[in-house]
Amino acid sequence: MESILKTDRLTKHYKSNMLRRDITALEDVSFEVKRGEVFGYVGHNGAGKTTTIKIMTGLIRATSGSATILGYGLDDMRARRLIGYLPENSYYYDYLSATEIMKFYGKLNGMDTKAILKRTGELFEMLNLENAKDRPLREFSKGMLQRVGVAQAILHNPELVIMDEPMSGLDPIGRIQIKEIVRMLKKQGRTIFFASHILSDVEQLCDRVALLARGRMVKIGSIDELTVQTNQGYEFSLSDWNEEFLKKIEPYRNGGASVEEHGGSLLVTVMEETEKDKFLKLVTSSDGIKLASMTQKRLSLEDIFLKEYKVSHEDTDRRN
Amino acid sequence: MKILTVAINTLKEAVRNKVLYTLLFFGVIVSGMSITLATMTVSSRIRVIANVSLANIEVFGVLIAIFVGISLVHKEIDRRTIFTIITRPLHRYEFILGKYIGLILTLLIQIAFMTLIFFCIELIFGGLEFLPDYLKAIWLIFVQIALITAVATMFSSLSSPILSGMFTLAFYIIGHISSFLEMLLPENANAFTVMLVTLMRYMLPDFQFLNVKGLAVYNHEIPFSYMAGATIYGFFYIAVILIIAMLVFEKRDMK
Repeated sequence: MESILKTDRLTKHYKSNMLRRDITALEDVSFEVKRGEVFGYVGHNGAGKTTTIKIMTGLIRATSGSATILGYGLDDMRARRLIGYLPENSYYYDYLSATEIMKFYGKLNGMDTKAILKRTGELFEMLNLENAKDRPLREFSKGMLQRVGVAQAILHNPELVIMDEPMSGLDPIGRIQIKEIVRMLKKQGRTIFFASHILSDVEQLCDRVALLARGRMVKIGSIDELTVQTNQGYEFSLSDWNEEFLKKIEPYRNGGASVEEHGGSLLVTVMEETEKDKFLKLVTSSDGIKLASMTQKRLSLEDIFLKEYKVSHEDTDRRN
Repeated sequence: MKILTVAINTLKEAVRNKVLYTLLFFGVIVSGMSITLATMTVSSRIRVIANVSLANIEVFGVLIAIFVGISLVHKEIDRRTIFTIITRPLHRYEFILGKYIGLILTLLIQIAFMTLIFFCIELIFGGLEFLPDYLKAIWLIFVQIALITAVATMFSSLSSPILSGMFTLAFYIIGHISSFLEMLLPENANAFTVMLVTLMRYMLPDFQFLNVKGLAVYNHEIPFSYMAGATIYGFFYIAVILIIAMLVFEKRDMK
């Protein structure tokens, strides 16, 4: 699949305000975002997510490294035409009405008034903003402003939509709406760069994920790839077992498998794939034993993130 | 086209800004006061009205240029409204020029409004025959204000409003006395001080060169060649200052 966005060893150093100390916000971050995917960019507060986005959108310049959007450098206006940007908070002119702000942004994107009004009508209908289109933005709720943010980000039909913490400060309804919008944009074939620290949202929405800790990229891959790498064993849930069966599985228990009763079921967890196959044969060959389910136990994205964060923390301490 | 979009939006913002109306209100009050002063004077009433009104147009124009100009770009960065603007296919220099032109349009409206009041008062007192001279003086007041706006825009793109205000005001004051700077030097001034003052004399614009209010009020001839020279002089400084502002802004990180 074609790469929409490519970064190569992006690095950003800042000078702290008072002591003029050198602060590394981002170090050697390289990744690719493929066309049509929802790419999750995950990290704790201060991990470097917003710094990466600001570099990608031209708000700040990288100290070293490079990035391209469909082959165009970030300072190239052709690259800017391809992106739509939803910032973390609503930074819009609050004295303008929703329609006025769309006209303003549309013209900056080189659209003519007729096209802007047509597209604005479609977007406001989709985002339930029709009744508020002539009200000044200062009268809008946080959720409504976030929807205006989405509208301005996709007004010009960009190839790549960059969302920085799109769920920030939203109530559950607002969050559901944003999730629906992300799914809809994906269905329309758009590529979405989704930066967040809310891991459950990322797990639900993203095809691939990059984990960032302390300015460094620590993992990248699909949710499946990341979690399969952290196999926590295979869990069998059984019912109608008897004493004879318990005796049969004694060697597994001695070999390290965990066996426990839970809610009327017998839960057996074996670690290795070969053991799993043998145990499955044993279950199917034992009379009367019913297999309710067999699942591969994995770490959640949250567990992986915490683990990587701790590793990076220790690594930084060692280097210091 | 994109510069114009930013400019029109800046004008819209200024028009919806209460500070502008407050300053305009005071400007109108002072214009009205010129009638009172004129009725109390023993010399030419027309001259008193012209003197007060032209000074009034300049002072309130400069005040609006400084008050609005010093936060023109800084406010966009501080409130982060700039985030959804310069991430679009818009060059940073286009943003600076758009903001500058927007404020200039606002000031043109203010100057036109106050000029209209001034001419109405002159009409009442029969001084309309001197309008061409007054218009020349008002044009050069506009050039001065446009120069101050450029300075405020430059400082606003690299500093906080308070510092920008102080620097811009200092620039305006020094600009008015720059032609006298060398005269202020003591006879025993050391070489470094002389060099510094001479450097400032040539680097800073001479606002007195753009001031023909006195000539207009006393109906002295203001040749076209002088007007053209002063206009080019003012526009040259505006261009230099805006180029500096654009270069500085180009490098700036929007944190």
